[in-house]
Amino acid sequence: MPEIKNIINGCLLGNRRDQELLYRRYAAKLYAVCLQYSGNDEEARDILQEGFIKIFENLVHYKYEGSFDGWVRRIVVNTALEKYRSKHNLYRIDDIDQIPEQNAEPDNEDYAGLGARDLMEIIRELPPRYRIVFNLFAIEGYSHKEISGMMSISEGTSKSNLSRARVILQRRVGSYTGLKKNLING
Amino acid sequence: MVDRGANIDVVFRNGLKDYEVLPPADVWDKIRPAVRKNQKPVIILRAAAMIAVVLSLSFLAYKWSMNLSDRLGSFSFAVNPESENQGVAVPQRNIYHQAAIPVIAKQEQQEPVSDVVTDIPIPVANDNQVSPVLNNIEAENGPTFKGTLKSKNNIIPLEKSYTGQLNPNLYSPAFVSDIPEKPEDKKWTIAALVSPTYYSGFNSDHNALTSMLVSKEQAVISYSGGVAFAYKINKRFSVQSGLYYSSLGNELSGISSYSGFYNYDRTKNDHNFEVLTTNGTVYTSTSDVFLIDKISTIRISTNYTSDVFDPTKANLKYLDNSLTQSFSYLELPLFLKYKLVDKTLGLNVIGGLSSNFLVNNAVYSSLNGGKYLVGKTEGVNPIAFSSSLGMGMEYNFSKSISLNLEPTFRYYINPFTGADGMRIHPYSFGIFSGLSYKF
Repeated sequence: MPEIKNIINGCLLGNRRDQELLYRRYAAKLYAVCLQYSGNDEEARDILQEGFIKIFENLVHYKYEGSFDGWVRRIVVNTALEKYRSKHNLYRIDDIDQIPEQNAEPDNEDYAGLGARDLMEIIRELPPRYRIVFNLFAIEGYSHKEISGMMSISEGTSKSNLSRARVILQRRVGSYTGLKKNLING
Repeated sequence: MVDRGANIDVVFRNGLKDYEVLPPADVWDKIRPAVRKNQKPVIILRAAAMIAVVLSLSFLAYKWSMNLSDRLGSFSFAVNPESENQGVAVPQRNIYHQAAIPVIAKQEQQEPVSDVVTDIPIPVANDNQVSPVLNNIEAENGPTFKGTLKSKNNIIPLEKSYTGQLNPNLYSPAFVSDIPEKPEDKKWTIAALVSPTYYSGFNSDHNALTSMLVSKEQAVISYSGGVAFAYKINKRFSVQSGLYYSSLGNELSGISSYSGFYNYDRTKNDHNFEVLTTNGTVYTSTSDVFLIDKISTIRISTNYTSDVFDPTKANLKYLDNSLTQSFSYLELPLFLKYKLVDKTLGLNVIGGLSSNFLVNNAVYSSLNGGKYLVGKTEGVNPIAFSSSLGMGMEYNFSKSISLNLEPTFRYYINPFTGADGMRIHPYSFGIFSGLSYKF
């Protein structure tokens, strides 16, 4: 497998083969990120498409500081954020009361039965802002201060959104695992 | 709650960490055309701008030379104050002897003219007018005069050929410079020309890396010079060849160089650093040099990166913050020259093709004001073909010696380097000047 530096240089030289190689190497990984940040598949495809175009356009600025995986992921996450910002007026932040309270909070052992696909489905059911705040905080590791700047919200709102996202996720996980148990037990 | 919250964070973080989903197949088809933007219009605009500049300069030069030539060659006609109603056409630069005035003054059609009149043809002298000038017209012996009878200060156009002796009262034979039936035709010209040259390049394969490299490189003012031979095919056309030596320079900014690395180089390998440039890849040819790129991480490939070796801590001798690529070519041109204006100040268009043979290829840094050889550029084409277009001005001091000034635009047809994706077509603009000798 060619070294990533060779692929990057090939891309910078406009080499079609290397451009496709770079896409093939990161497409699946980054599409998962796009799905994680978007509410539907069409939006995820748009984010991936725009994200990759930005990656190719900004490749010349990549300084080989830090991992390339992290660099491309940041571009895609930023693209998802831009997408969210451009549409945020269209979304209404769902009131927590609208989230059905079906099950009690799950035990730790309940998490063990969940696969990545299940987690992805659960996270995508979150309201857009909660989903993004949770992803930025829990998955990407940004602080509330950074998130407030990225999303143009206050730190308090970021904390509140995260808290509500966690509650929803815990409930969804509980209902999901309960449903699974029921299915298994017949 | 905090613990449980943090716990669910970990569940999602770990659970989704390596999750991958293949995107729909058509996503790449949409990305692909957007990735490589076609920037040819920019290149075409640049080329058009350059051609426009050359044409404008040429046009201005042409107009200027025409004006100057007209001024030098325009006739001024003066009225002979002693002969009323007998205006005499006297070319100002060929002042007739007073005695010769009647020859022309007998023209019947001459009207009194104002002090200065232009665009009046020189009258052709007939037998009656020539007879005072030539004794024994139709004599068998004596020289034959045809076309123009010309002395040092006098010109009499002749309508036919005459044989006879010049009237010594009017024309001293000593003043008769030449009366050739056919002007002497000098076919060959040799010229020595030299020019400062501005050198740059068109990026014909626009991509991010090449654009970045171009932005970090600067042309160094270069020089060309040599000897040219021209053979006159006819009155207007001549072919020109010769041998020129041209030196081109390219500065790679932001690359700092240090000497004294030999003591730290474990591999003792000469080829410790590679520097990517628009002209090819520079390979260091000495293990003594250490290079760091201060503004980009892409250009230099080496095992001795800045996190492995710090030249400052090792107390290496700092040389310079840029490298200079130097190329020298021997040029064999084949040009066609067309004479637009054939006067004292002549004007011609010159264009053609040249083969340029690479004779020197080196990369330098500076050391105590001198040159410190770093290496050479690999992948440079040994032969470059160029096309040239120029507008030449020629001021004739005499029939044999003239001063030449030739603003010339040169475009290199093939890129300097054969490296994949690096299609930089250099071009240069120079003003060749020098002396030429016709024989």
